[in-house]
Amino acid sequence: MANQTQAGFLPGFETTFITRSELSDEGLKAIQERLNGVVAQYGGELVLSEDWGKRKLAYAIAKETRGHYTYFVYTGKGDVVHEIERNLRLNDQVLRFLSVNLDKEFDQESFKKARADQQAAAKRREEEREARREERMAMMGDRGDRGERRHYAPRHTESTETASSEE
Amino acid sequence: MAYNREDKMDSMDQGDDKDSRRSPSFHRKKGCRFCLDREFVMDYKDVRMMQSFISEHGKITPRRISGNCADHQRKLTSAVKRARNLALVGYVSSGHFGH
Repeated sequence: MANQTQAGFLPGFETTFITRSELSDEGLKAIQERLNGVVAQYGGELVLSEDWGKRKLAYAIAKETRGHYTYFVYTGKGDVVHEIERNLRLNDQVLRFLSVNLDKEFDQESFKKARADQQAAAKRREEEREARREERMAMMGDRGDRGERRHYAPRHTESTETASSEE
Repeated sequence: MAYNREDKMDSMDQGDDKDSRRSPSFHRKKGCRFCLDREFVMDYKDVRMMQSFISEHGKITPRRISGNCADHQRKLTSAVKRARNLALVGYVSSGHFGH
């Protein structure tokens, strides 16, 4: 399979892994460097790496309720994913990982651009949502004569706050 | 879910003077949000996007309610399942049944 790809474009993959929240920054760095070594060994290169920070897990994994997410995109031939996953599996600080095959002929530049656009769009949507919420809160505040509806407002903010804290 | 609730509240505010809109068979014209808005991209990493297609029990909203087209609904399903694997989104309700 790897032999069939055109010269210049290698297959692209992305991997997200979750480490225990108490793992030190040095420990995480060691894992990342090890994975970078694997990518280099297989003739690929690291396209981008994102640190999502510590997040609350939607459910407990190995009795942990929080985890540190790291996401990275890389290229490489054939077995690179197998080797990356083997390395992650060996480390017991890693709670969970997920690799996704992106493209057989991976174009790094367009991927980076698409990812940036996507993040910008998500951010814009978030801002719009925030603005709408504020507008609605202001509207509800104006109509003091309809007092019984006011209880909708705090309940709503509460539910959104819990949602955002889970991220 | 939060998205639906917002809609409901809006219709409550407007509906007072228009009785016809409050009939029991009221329904909003639905369209696939992914087809309508090109910037609304399917991605298992975008939790906010998926939360608008997940019920409070953690179930994926059916197509007849979300209004997604078949192609995007299929992609959404796999995106949600990937996110579940990464504990970004729960398999079951995050409130009472989890942990």
